[in-house]
Amino acid sequence: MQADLWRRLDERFGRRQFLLKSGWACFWIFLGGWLLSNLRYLFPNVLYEPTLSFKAGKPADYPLGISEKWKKTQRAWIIRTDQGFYCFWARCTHLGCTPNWFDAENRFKCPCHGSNFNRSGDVIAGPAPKPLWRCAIKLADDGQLLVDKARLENRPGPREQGDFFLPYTRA
Amino acid sequence: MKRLLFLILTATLTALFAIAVWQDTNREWTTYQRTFLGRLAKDERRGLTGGIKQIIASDLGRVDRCTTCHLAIEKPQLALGAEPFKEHPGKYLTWHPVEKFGCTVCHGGQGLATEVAAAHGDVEHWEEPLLRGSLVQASCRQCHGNLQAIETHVPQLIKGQQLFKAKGCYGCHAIKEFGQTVSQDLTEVGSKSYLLLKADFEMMERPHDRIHWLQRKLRHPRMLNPGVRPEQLPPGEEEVFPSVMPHFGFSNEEIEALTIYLLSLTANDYPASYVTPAAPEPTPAFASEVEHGKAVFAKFGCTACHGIGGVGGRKNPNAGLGGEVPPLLYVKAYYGNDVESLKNLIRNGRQPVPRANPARPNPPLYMPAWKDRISEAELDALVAYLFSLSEGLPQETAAGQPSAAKPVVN
Amino acid sequence: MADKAPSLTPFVKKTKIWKSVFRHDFTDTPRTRLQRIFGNVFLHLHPVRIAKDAIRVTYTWGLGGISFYLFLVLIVTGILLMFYYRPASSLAYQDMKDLSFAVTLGQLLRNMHRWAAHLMVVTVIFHMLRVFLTGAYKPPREYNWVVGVLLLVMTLFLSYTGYLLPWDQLALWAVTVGAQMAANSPMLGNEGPFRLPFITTSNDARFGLIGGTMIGDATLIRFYVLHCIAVPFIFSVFLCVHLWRVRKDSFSKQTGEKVDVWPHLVSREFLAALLVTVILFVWSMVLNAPLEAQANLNVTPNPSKAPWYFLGLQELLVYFDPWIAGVVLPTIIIIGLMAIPYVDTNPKGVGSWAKMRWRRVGPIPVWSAEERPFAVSVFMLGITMWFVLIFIGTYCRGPNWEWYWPWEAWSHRRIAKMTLKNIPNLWGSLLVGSYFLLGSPVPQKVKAMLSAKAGPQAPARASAALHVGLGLLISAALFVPLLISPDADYPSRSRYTTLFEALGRCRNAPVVSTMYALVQQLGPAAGYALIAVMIGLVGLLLGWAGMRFAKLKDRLYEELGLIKYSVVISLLLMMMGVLGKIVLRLAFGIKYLISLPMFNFNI
Repeated sequence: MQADLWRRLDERFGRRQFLLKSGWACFWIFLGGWLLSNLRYLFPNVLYEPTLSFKAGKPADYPLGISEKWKKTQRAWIIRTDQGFYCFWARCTHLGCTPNWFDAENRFKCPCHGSNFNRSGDVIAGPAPKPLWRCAIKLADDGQLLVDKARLENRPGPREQGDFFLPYTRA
Repeated sequence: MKRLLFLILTATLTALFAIAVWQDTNREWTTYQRTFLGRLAKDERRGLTGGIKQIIASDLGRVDRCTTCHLAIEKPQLALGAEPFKEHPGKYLTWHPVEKFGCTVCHGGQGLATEVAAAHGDVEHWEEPLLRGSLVQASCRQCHGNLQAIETHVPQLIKGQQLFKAKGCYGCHAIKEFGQTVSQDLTEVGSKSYLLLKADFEMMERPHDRIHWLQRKLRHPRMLNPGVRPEQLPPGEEEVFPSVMPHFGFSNEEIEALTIYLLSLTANDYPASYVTPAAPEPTPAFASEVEHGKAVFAKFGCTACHGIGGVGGRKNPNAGLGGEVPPLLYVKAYYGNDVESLKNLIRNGRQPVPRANPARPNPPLYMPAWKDRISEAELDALVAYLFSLSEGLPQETAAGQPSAAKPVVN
Repeated sequence: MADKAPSLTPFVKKTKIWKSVFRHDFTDTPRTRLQRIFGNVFLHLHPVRIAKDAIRVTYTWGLGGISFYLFLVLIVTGILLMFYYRPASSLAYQDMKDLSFAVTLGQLLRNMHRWAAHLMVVTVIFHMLRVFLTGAYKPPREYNWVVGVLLLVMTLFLSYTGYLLPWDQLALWAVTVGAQMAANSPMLGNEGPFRLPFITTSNDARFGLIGGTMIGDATLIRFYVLHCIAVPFIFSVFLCVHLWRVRKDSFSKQTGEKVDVWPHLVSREFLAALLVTVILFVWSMVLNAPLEAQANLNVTPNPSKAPWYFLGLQELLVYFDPWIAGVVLPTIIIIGLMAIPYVDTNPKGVGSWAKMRWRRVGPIPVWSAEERPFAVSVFMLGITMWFVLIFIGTYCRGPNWEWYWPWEAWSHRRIAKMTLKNIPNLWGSLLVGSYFLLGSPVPQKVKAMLSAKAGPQAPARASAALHVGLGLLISAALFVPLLISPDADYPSRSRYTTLFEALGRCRNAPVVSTMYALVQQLGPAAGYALIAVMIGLVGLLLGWAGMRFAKLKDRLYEELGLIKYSVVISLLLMMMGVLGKIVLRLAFGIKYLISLPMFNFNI
């Protein structure tokens, strides 16, 4: 009986099994590792895309309200409220013309077909179907505002949080 | 039954294949080439081969197959009387050798195509229409910065450029940083995508291409953009005013010239070896401050809204004081004692303009800000000119009585 | 009369070279017929003899074989196109133009490739439909059905990756719609819910799919490789399994005397292939494959539509949050399809088309299958809904994805302000909860317990109470908030304080505006009383409908057991729920029933 037990132990945990099990373990580790690294391979490390980010100066340089400083060169408005900063892409959601900001009327107006947008970007008149797009905005390491026009959001809710609103309450 | 079906199917397949091959070997251009070669004498035909011919202008990123049908374009000795076998007029091919330039860089159209309608860009989804007739002048400006040097070849283009300045278009539109932002930037209007013109295309008859859009816009701006009346809107929606671009009443020649000029404002970027830069504009000398001011008034397009000589009259829906842009004849009366206020008004603009009916939206036209666009010297000259406009009015004595002197009719 | 000249053929056929290639002669004997199948690598998956009824055209319509043939056509035409097409953004469009204008037979080949692709998607879907309606997925063929669903997904993915290659506006923006759905995936998508902490726009599912943050050259080469090599290779592997399984699991129809596969089946296959080729030729010679303006990232066509087989999904995006409509629902549909053979315990209906007949459900006559009414009705309802959604997306959606009747001209000047309101979350949860509770059965054990405790009528009464109660709850949970809840958008984006007023005045909520008009006409007392009666009636109607299905539900529960029943009933309720949501939006102006923007959860 003892010999039988010993034999069975040997079959399950003996040298043959050890070699076999270790062999298969190595095989699966290799294969799994290979597949995972192939998956990682598919995610590029460098991109050949034009950068749509730009640095917009120090936040303290911006008074409250709509700044048209970057409208011409970057097609963007920087807006400062007492809660912080957000940035619009200066492109009408109707057919892509560039609207103008009218401070006295407190609205953006597009000259092409008459769409009007309020400060939050919502359509208050005209044929535009959607609110103005906001660009991702954050603080860069050197303290300047960093706008990323590649990331856009215009849904009420998500557009007022996360990367699309930069809280800033210092002077 | 199956055998019959088999025969029908294979016979149909063979027939279809034969038709497909026949269609493929008898394209439009083969007919043209056959006609051409047929009309030539035997010795003329020597050395001429059939097949698609193409010119690769790699610097310009273009491949043009126009010479597949336009076989005599470079060979005047073989030219026939009717298109497409005519020769190229003038000495343009001497100055712009075909191997270096191709054809479409000047004439537009779709170089890669080998069918007539497609090659001429008269098909959907091709946004570079063929520039027929005098329209071809629009292409010259893409390389020839100095139009004066070639003025005999581009008369309408130069006229268009001058008209653009003279009619005051810069008062609302900007081209390359110069001008205003009241309306759209026109720096690349010659390349504007048709997808952005869809709303305007709905309001005009076909053909729906950039050429006809520009012509229609210049002729009847409000027709393309008639606005939306409150009756047509869902409840609670604001009305949209029609376009306030003035109806200039251009003649056909003026429309042609302006269209050519606007078509020349493209996004195309050609290599420096092809481009001759513009000559710097000479700074003109002026006889007087008022003369200078008059030039400034025209240069910045003030005439577009305030009229030539500041007589006013442009329609501005829902604007107080008559629904029009105000004339400038009374500027001296209002600001004669307060030049700085006048200058600030010009620098900062005034918007919104007070409304006639507070229930309706603000008037679309307004005084734009000229702060970063006009120099102080020009501003002084302009003020001098504006004050001089009051000379056209009846004189008033200090007591406010109109004098007996006759007004000088301007 | 001269003798016939001695022919060469018998001499050739006796040579060693000939015999090494062709191992049998070509006389028509039973033995040779056998050898033609046996001894041919391309044909030897076929059996040598097959049941006569199995090769009848009207059984399978040859759809599986036609799909396979179209795959071969696509490979051949695709390889030929690869000789002229270069997958770079600066070259691709030009090469497409060259194929149309300058390459011999280029236009024809391009057309054939495109139309064969569309045709293959259609035949693959119809093949699935045929297999379902003939019950050919039932054991032992469940595994092959699952493999088939995977092949369907790969067919759609092949079509999607190929769609980008012409690099025109149609291609670019259609792929953008699909890529955005990847960005909306839960956990792995940058804009999806439950986003894992390390996921950003530079490493999410969308990034991996398009090879960057924007669609560009990296996307083009990636899709090219996927389209030409990677997916066709995997597809072929699965296809081998699928075809082998058809043999291994035995064909679903085995009745009738046996006939030789050569010539009877093979000749039919050949004729089918010829017919498909003729159709493809005609189609390709008459209709040119579209090519719009060159891809331009700065200008978006309006509307931007996905390829037709994804338009159903794009239409669903109107009613649900992007990650739900674009990721969750398709996943559920695919898993649901795969689950069908495992939850269908009814052994009937294999090997013949489901016989249909009229039957009555209460007062309503219904045309359903005789042997598998539940399965066939539910599946056909799902397929019909899918096709209707595709139809709507194709013909009823214009600029800004607004509703245009198919005969209405599209206009970019239209100012359409749709008033859409959310139901407060509590009421919405009540509505959704009671709706899904409608699916609960009354198991035998519970019925027995009830009878023991409260008499023989008790189970029926309990079931009635349950259903009527739930129906009234659903009705109340829908109408009451519409009548009394405040408008959450007041005052910044709404002029009215209550939902009833806001929706009652708008044209896109006909039911609510009728109710509102009623109140205006009859005065508040009479109006609201009438509406209360109406709510009660709707609730009772829902309850009665539930009761009618109670017997079916209970029977299904007993047959399937808890797990399978739960799967079936949840899928069914979700499908009907999508339909209900569409109705709620189009008739009641309701945008979301439960809206949790923090979690991107909007249904």
